[in-house]
Amino acid sequence: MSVMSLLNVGANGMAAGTFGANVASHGASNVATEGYTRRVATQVPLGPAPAGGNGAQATGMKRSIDPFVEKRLLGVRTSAGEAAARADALVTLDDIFADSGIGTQLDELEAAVADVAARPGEIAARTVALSAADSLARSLADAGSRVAEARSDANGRIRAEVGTINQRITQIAQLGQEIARSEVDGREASDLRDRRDQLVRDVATQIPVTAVQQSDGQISLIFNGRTELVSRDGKAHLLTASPDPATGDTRITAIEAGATVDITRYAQGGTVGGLVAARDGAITTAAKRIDQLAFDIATAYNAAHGAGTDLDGGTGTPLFDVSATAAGAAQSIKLSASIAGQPRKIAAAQDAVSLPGDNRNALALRALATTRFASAGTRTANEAFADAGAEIGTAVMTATSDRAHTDDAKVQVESLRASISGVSLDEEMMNLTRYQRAYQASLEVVRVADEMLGSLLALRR
Amino acid sequence: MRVSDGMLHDMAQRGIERAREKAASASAAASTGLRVQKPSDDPVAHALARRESARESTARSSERTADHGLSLTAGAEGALAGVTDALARARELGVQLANGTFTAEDRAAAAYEVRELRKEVASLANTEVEGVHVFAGYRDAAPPFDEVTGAYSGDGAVRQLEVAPYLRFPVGVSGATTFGAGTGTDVFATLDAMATALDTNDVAGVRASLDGLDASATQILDARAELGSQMRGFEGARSAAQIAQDRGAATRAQLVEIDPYRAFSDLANAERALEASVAVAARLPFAGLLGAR
Repeated sequence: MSVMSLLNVGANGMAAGTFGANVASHGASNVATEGYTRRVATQVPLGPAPAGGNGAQATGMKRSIDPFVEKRLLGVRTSAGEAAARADALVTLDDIFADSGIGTQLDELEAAVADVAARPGEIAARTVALSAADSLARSLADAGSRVAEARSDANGRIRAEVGTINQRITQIAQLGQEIARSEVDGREASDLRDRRDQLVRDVATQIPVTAVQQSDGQISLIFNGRTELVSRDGKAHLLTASPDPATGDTRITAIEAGATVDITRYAQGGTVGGLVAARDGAITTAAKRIDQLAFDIATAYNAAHGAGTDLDGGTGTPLFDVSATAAGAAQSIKLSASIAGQPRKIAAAQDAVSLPGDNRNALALRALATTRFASAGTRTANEAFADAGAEIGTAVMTATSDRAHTDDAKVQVESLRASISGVSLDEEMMNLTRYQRAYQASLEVVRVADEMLGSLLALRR
Repeated sequence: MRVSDGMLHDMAQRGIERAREKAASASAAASTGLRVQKPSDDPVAHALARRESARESTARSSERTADHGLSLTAGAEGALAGVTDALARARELGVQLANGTFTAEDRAAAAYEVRELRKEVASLANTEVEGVHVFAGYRDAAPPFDEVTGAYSGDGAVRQLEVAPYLRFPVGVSGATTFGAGTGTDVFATLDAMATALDTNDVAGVRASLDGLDASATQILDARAELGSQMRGFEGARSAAQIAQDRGAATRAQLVEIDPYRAFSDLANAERALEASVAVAARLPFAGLLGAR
């Protein structure tokens, strides 16, 4: 035991104090950094005990983290990402079925046909009827192309998401290797871990993943419990997004045990899952409904119209041109080229000898407004449109409310995480003061040791 | 619970975001007066409202059709009222001049008047309402009666109008049966016969033509009675259509509209909530150790 060792105690204490103050300051300045996990400086008393101790030694720092909360955070992020992406993808569908466009055009066509039935010989009424039919066809075509746009939009987004996932898992794999290398000395590579954890959380927003900690500090990242995105050996296994040759829809494939496997249907969460659900769910339904409606309208009106006689005695003229089957009917429907611009060709009459006042076929056409010819003969066109709107509206409403409550769940877990891992400035200020005091005390120790040494040296004089 | 600084800021930020969202939807509802603007706001109400709109629109065009029916029948009735008057005058002349005290000159003068009446009846039979010759049937583009011969070129059909879904009313009467073209008593032939009898000073012939005039007048009156009942039918259909529109509008309002008092109290609440959350955020950071220094 010597006075010299007292100097050591002071020096060790000052070093530990500086380190602690450093950690506290680092935390305080990262208060707004996303993904930053609060750290606690760790220190141990230095032996040996018989000498009375050698002061404090800073041993490093430890991130304040709860692995269970982290795991829950991945789950809620996946759900929230799914609902948000689904809601965003569906929101444009809502407007298509809003009470304008097709519904109003159906009403207007009926009104115009009713006027032709009242005044079969009047060209003005016929002209209005033609333009109403034209507007209806355009509304249907517009709705058809908007639904198609929503689909290609979803496909494009899925591709883009897969691109980001690949970037992120590549970075996760690289960071894993760096972490393994830098933690060889037993010190935690906190900043690298923070960055990797943030990337894992970001991937979890996109697709369902679980992260499994490896003993060497690396993680393996597993998609939906079946596909390794980052494997134990620290390698990234990228996903591929490519259009399905038959439908053009984006499919996601992975390499599993050397074979290419379509994993699209396993993406049941995250933004990718939300986009797939929207595309294969409500968007597909909307396309089917609009196509069927356009096809039914064209078929029914063409049949009724073709049976009648126009002002010049002609018969068999269609009102609409449309595709041969319901598939793609909405985008193909238009006012028939054989009647466009020729109001005299509206077949209001039943018989060529009773022109021009014969309105019997116009009455038949008007009756279509209240005839259940749509949806396999169960609804009027207007009812079919209204019910399709309710169907899509329900999907949108569900998505919106899912978004709200999954977001709430996410916020709850995020605030739980923040309460464990977030920076509290008050706390860091306290820590700063604590280490400052420890430093000052150690400085005092050095001064006392110096005085003691001084006194000792003075004895010799 | 440990509260980190990020939690405080996130909480304040979310508070403002939510309050803004509520304020935006409350002000949209207040400014449009609509609770349901798109299907997702309330899918069932939206679908029902669309069906109501369709019914309302059907009723609106039915009302227009009934109006048209009314003007056609009123026009036809007006024309036939003129015919009735003309036939009454002809009968008056006939009864007078069947009396032996009148001279051949008197009868010739009366014959002239009867011919004028016949012309009047012919022009009434060719009455055109809103571009439609009401007694022509389907072939309504041209006058159905030849002014000279009285020959009928219409088809005697009666058009129907739809005044409510699947409810069709006939509009007008057949020109053929009303004026006796090929069926019943030929009004023009009767007047012609009377004029000829008067011209030729044939008292017995004049007397004989009175029967024909009576039969013609009855025929016209029958047609007028039919038109009268049609007019009542169209009037009934019109008010039914108006009621249907009002009912449709009221139902739709209930489904998709918002009570203005409700809208504005919602808006006021949302605004207050927004102000409160902004006020909370403005107080951040709370004076902690950092502020105390």
